[in-house]
Amino acid sequence: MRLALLYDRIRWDEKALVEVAEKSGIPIELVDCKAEAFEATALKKTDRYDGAIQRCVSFMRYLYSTAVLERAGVKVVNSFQVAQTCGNKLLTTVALTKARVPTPRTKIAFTIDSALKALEEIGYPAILKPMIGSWGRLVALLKDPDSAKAVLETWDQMGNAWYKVYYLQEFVAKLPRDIRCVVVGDEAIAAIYRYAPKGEWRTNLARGGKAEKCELTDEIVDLSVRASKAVGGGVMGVDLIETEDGLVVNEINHNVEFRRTVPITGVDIPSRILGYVINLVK
Amino acid sequence: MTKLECPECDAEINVPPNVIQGEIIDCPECGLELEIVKVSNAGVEVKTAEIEGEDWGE
Repeated sequence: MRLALLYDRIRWDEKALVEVAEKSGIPIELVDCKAEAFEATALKKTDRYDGAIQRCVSFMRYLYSTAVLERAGVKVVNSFQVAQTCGNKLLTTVALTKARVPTPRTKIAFTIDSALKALEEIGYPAILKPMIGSWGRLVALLKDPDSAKAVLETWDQMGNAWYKVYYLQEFVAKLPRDIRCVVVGDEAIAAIYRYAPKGEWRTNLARGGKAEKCELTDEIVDLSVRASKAVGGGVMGVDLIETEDGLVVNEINHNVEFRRTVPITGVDIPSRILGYVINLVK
Repeated sequence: MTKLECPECDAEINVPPNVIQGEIIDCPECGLELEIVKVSNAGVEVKTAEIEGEDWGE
């Protein structure tokens, strides 16, 4: 069996995956998606590798190199379908809702006027998120109609069509933290609490938040596995929020980072990911 | 240990012995990120790493 690790940037996470593959005696080819041009019209199955761990940090590279490689018969983790759903917050919301997985109330609007109307219904404070994006980038907490209008007008001026779609969500967190649960296949294997740093409400570790171990309760396991299945299953980072009415699933990450989760939980996440990919490719 | 000169600030950068192609190292002085593009017996080749794109993330 030959595997590829598709990347555009080798971080601790990717290096850990390469190291466990080498230790297991599985040949793994490092494929730099920045350097490669992918044959999109190939009719024959590629013989370069049988399976691939997709780790591109850029969503566009992740999505489209996966689309082409799947067409060439390569089993890619995660799949195009999963990445397309998880990489788009609205498609994630739709998939979770269809699967009856609790998620914060969300509205989608396409003009400033309709967004402001939607916010009146949702109530303040509310959250505005870009439909595509990660690490908390541009995610805004709207505290009242005046600040909402200011942010919406700024987005409208940005020129990018993605910022003319307003994904609006109720603010339901009762604590300044969330839960990140790593799911591999059918199993929730590790969880951490992520705390918003001082002077910040977003809990993304990329924004400097701190993390600590979270015990895997039945509720966390059940919701995380159901959420993962709702978007197609694979290797996921499921984000949960503690609300007055219990846990809800906020977002699902298709390119889960685990550099902080491994030392905090002691779970060998890279080995679990590799094992999952090997079983899938077999 | 391989040593490099930072293309931005000329500071000396110590390259860890086990780096692999694609890995990012930081200049300890100015924080510039460098991507390892080639590892060989002659040493390592680097280029300035990409800056964060708006589609980057998890």
